[in-house]
Amino acid sequence: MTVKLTVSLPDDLAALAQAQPNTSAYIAEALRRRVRSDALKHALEQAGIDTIPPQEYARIVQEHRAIDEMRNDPEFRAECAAKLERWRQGIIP
Amino acid sequence: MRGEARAVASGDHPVTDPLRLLDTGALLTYAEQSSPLVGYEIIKCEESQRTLLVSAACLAEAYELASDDGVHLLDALVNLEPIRVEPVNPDDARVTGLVARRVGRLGLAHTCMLALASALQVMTTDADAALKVLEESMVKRLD
Repeated sequence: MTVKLTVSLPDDLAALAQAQPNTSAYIAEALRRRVRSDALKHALEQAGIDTIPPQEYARIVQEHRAIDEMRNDPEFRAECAAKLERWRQGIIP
Repeated sequence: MRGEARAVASGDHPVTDPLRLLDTGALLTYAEQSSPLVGYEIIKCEESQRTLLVSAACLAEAYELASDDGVHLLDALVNLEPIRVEPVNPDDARVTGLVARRVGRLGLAHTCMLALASALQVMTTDADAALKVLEESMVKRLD
């Protein structure tokens, strides 16, 4: 079910929204993202976490890059698959 | 691949590329607020549209071990955008049980199996146990 609304937007955002093939879907998706982001922020605040300190941020970016490099290595993925297959055959280290 | 971790869209959650697996201990550091590192991972994954996978077995263990306040934080955690809970499939029961004999817990065993199925790193407070069956590069130690 949908509800028809009339909203006022700043010029730049109105132009952006009107340029989309489906303005309503575009705005709905933006609002959904905002709802999810607010929920995330609220949950993290409850857990005592508000933001990532800069030095931690740099470390995390570096770690994530290393993980992606590892995962993008076909040899690594083949090793994982082979090991899992051995496990399925009952050969556990 | 049989048993491969799936990033299944549910509700409004879009499908995103998984980055890491969170073991029971990692969930508990979040729920008990003993370390902010899992929270940082969640923030960064949300920003980069990535996913953190959690075995349903680990989630159950975390609920078993969490304090009353921790249970509420776990409830919130599982609904967060970057978190995807992976079921334990009937096909995985044999391997999970056999690996659990080595690592000591069903949750960690299933997580290690998912790690191989999806070539993912495991974030765990139980690194020594995980290292009995996984290479060092696949284990992120949380203390």
